[in-house]
Amino acid sequence: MSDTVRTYSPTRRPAAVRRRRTSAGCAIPFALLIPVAIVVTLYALWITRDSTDLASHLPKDDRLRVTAIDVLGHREEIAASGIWQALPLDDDLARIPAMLTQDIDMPQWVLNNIIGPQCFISGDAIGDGQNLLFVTKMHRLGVLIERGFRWSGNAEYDRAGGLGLRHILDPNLYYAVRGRVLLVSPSRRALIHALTLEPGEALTPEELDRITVDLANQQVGGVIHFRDDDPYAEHLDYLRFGIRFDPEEAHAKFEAALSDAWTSRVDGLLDGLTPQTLRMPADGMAVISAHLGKPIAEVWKGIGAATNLPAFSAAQWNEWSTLAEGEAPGLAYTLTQLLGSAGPGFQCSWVGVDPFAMIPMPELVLTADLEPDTAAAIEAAFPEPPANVPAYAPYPRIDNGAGMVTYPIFGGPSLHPTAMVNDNSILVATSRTVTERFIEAPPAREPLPLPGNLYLRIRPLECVNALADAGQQFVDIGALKGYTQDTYREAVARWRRDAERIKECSALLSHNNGLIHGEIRILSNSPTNP
Amino acid sequence: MPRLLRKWSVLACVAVCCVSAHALFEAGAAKADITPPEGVPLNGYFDRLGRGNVGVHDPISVRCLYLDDGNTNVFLVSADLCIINRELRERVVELAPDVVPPERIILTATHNHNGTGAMVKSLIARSISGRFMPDVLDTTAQAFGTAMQEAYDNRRRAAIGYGTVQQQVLSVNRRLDKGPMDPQIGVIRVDDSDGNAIAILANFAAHPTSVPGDDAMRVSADYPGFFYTELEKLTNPGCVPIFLNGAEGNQTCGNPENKSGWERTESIGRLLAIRTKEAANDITPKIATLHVGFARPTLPPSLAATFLPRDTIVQTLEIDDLLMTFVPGEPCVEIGLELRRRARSRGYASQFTVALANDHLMYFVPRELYSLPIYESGMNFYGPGIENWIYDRFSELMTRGEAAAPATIPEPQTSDVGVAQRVVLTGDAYSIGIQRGQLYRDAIRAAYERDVLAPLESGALLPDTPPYSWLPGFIDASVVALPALGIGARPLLTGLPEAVFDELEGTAEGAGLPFDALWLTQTAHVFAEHSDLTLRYRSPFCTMLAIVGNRAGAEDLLVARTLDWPRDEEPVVIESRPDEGFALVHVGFPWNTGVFTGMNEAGLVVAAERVESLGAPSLEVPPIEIVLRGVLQSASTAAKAASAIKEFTALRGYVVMLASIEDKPQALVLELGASVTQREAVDGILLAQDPEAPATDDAARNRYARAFQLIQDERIVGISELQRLLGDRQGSASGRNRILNDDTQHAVVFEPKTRRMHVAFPDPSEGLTFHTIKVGDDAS
Repeated sequence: MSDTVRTYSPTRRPAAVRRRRTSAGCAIPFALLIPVAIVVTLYALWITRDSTDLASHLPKDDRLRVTAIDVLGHREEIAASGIWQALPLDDDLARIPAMLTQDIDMPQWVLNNIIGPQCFISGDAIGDGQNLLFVTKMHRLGVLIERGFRWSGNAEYDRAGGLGLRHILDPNLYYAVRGRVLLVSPSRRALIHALTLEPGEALTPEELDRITVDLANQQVGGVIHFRDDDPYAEHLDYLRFGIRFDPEEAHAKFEAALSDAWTSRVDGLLDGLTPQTLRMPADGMAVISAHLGKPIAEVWKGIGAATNLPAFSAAQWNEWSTLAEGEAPGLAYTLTQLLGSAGPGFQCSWVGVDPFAMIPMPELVLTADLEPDTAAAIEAAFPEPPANVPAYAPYPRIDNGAGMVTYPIFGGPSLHPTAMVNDNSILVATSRTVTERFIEAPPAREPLPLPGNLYLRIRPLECVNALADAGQQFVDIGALKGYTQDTYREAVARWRRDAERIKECSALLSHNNGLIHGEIRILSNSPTNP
Repeated sequence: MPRLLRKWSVLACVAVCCVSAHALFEAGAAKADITPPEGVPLNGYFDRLGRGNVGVHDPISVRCLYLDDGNTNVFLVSADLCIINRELRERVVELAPDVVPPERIILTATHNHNGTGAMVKSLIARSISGRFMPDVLDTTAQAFGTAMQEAYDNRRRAAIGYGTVQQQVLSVNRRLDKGPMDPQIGVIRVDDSDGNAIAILANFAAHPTSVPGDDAMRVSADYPGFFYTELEKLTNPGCVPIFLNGAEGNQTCGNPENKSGWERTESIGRLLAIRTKEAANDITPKIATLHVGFARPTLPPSLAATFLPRDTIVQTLEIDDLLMTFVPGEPCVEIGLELRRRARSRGYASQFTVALANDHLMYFVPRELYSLPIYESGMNFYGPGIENWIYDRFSELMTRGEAAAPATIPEPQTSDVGVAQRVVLTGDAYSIGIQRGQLYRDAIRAAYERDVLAPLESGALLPDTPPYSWLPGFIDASVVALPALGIGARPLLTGLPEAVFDELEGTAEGAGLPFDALWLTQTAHVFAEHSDLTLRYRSPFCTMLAIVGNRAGAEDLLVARTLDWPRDEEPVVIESRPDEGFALVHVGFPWNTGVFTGMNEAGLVVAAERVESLGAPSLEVPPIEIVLRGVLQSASTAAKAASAIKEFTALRGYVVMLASIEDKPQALVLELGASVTQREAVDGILLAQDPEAPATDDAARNRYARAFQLIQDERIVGISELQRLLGDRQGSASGRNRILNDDTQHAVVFEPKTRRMHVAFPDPSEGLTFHTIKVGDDAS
């Protein structure tokens, strides 16, 4: 209803009056509309001005910060990625694609205006969703929509000492708007904390810009600062990560800083280590390529120092590699002689399983760099078996013609670890048959495209198939705990279904100046992924 | 017989055949090499650890005889292998010429321990036969097929005959000095129409394990290889010698020429060939009628059922009045001899047992060897009942004579005795066992689950030593641990009366359990006392006393006892009326075949109580209650019973009360410790434990002192006084200090003179209510 003052006269013709009044009724508000519109527009521009720096509400010392770039623009893309089906996720994570695409009873243009191109999630405790803070910069229209929402009565006003919070009861969320910055949290305390940060307690605009730059080509990124009570605090100071979802691939990059305590433990492994040229392992269902800048013996002992596992201790290595007077060389001695000086680059591949060996045996191949003069020294390390040792007895056997050293433990070739020594590399396989396969065509050991210190790759379906064959041998005699023939068949079918969703997972890790850099790729198994 | 005359007689036979189409008899023989390449594992010994062979000492072969009488044809195949395993038989049958149906293909192995391995897929068997190599299996099976095809292709008009020759030096019992051996060498001779031998078969029982240790990793046919060579020298070219091993389970080669190494192997093969040829020379081949019996019966239950088959193949080949029985494993010689005796009683002139045929179910030992800690009994996985199973299955396949009709199992009579069930079982011991097993099938199986399977699954029964400690967590160690436990419990069968053994067998069958499973259940409490890991099963403690002579008044003798057993058990009263021995009544639990509390129709009362100070129960003899079960069936007086019990010299840890009325009223207590002490009544009172003795523990001292206090002032102690005594709760005492306590399962007063028992089962609200049972009474 208009508040315009109206004058009425009984001498005028009612119809004309009515007509004129009608005509005049339009004209007067229209005339007023422009100034009103100008006022309203000015008001709207005023209240939607970008008056607050987003960085000033992001606590500098928060332990968890996740940034999403244009999450609304990418949400269809993220949800459609085949990776979600490929990963063995728990129920909460598995719902993410559905949550991203679900109709949330809000027009898309409304969402687009409320959620800006950058979103930040910040928290002071890992694993505690109740203290998370969501911060984004709205578009102007988003600010106006929020005002409308505010007036709709769906949010209660919470004065909060003048901070002016709004409380949505269902779901239980507090929010506040500063300029175009929207801050939302389930925790009133977290929200108040974010609104009352002193300049030194908040991120600076420059720090915020660097986060954005770091996230180039990623869709979601973040940083986690670990503290004493966090699960990985013993090992890591912080973990910075970025994730990108493509239709058939998920790609993650991360940077981790080791904790001081862990740095001192792994010092023997990582001190001075920089990214190196890695070589491609022999093709297998799971492979590792490593270059830690030192011979395998030193790597072994370094693992021992880091993990305190007795088997990896220097004392154990020395015991294995030393032969007492009159002692027959055993398997451990043989392996330490073969591998002790090998490296620094080495590769390991799981190439198969022999389910029909005396006991089902994995087939592993290890290749390693070898100094040119080392081959002769290795051969010299093994004495000729005494005449009374039968040809089949466990004893290192040198076949100079084939350039192989075999140690027949028992059973058949799958239990006969065999090494093949070349001029600049050594190959050791758990199976003589496997080594013989490489005599004609040794692994090429081509350099990997990117430098690093550790490369891992796994093809889950091939692994499941190999393990299923091995497990079947135990099921056939009723010795696989918890399985009958029928339940095992069903379980294997289920494992295969799960595994065949992922074509391949790979990771490349490198170390530099106390920081671990890594890239992880997960390829889903789709027709377009050759 | 002069050679010329024999040839003419064959020609005459063949000529007769020519004019009588239905009498056409054809035969052909062939052999094929199955020598494996170097590196293929050999089968037979665990200590080879599956390593590959390092070369060939002498080749091995498969030899086939094809026989056809015009109506029935058969392939009889023998291979220089350790066993015929299932994978091999299945593949051979697939590749065999399509002229003989599978049920008339007989595959046997010589049991050569230096022949090809690598053909058994089972993970457990690989420890003996080496890794599984499908290509080796296929190559070997193809050689079988080749030999069979060539034997068929070589078929021609023929005649056949058999004979036997005795030997005393070529084989010996490898377990028992002067133990039984099979002196018979069975010989079959097949000639063609020209009188030339097509094949000569020898059936002789001895393990081919004579290859010297230095050549253990080399391929050889063992002594059968020398047998072939020698016999080929002694016969016409083209004759195929074939060796069929007999009931060789506990038989091995002798050493008549006192040789060593390969010379000994050669000696046995050569001498066997010479004896075979001598026997063959005496055979006059003729046209014969063939019959092949075939069945695929279900095997008795086994603790090793997860890796051993549930059914198998049994075959017979009848050549006129010769019966050949093909056993799918390694029977001990006693079984072979018994099969021969039974065959003759059914009208066969001769019988050859051929072992290792078509399948390999390990060893079959006679029941008398079952409890012995010897390799053969340890490898007998189908219980003591496998012996009768073999006799029965082959009896069913015999075409001559009449098989014995299966025994009829009587129906048990049941009635109620308070909260317990009273059961009267009749028939022979085995029938009684079957009735009991069927009646209490669920309770017996539940006890097996509770006392054996559950502790095994929880790991409480698994040793923490290798190989068990090496096994990763995903492996179910019980697959091998359960049969191993069963084997470990068998020595406790030593000395068990046959009737009790029979009843146990019947009970196992009635309950549908392997015999070893039932025996593990019976002995679980004994083993529990030797384990640091578990106290899952407590031994009985009790109060037992006897009143003798004037103090018992007109009854002359009264015995009273409670049995305290700290577990929930279903009470039963079982009366056995066996065909042989005394009828007896015992009060106990459905699953327990033994007798803790019982009386027989002669008036002998037995009762037992565990006394820890007398030592742990022995693992060399049956549990005390099983011994008492046998005693109760065979003895009529306490003195005779005491003598029978004392024969089990290793019994430890119990006092046994014995009382009888025959001859004179007598009660005595045997204290079975490091030595056996015997006590008798003083002033007409005999307590099972002396409350004054220093070895008596506090709880027993309290119970027995209280019992003595209640009766010492009574000039006459009657049934009602004893019933009151057994129901005494002595207000100040608690737990085991009371005569009647929370663990009391039953209380019994015996009247041996009238053969009556007054039995009560405690009711928490009502105390003891006694029911009277008379031995021999109708259960209803």
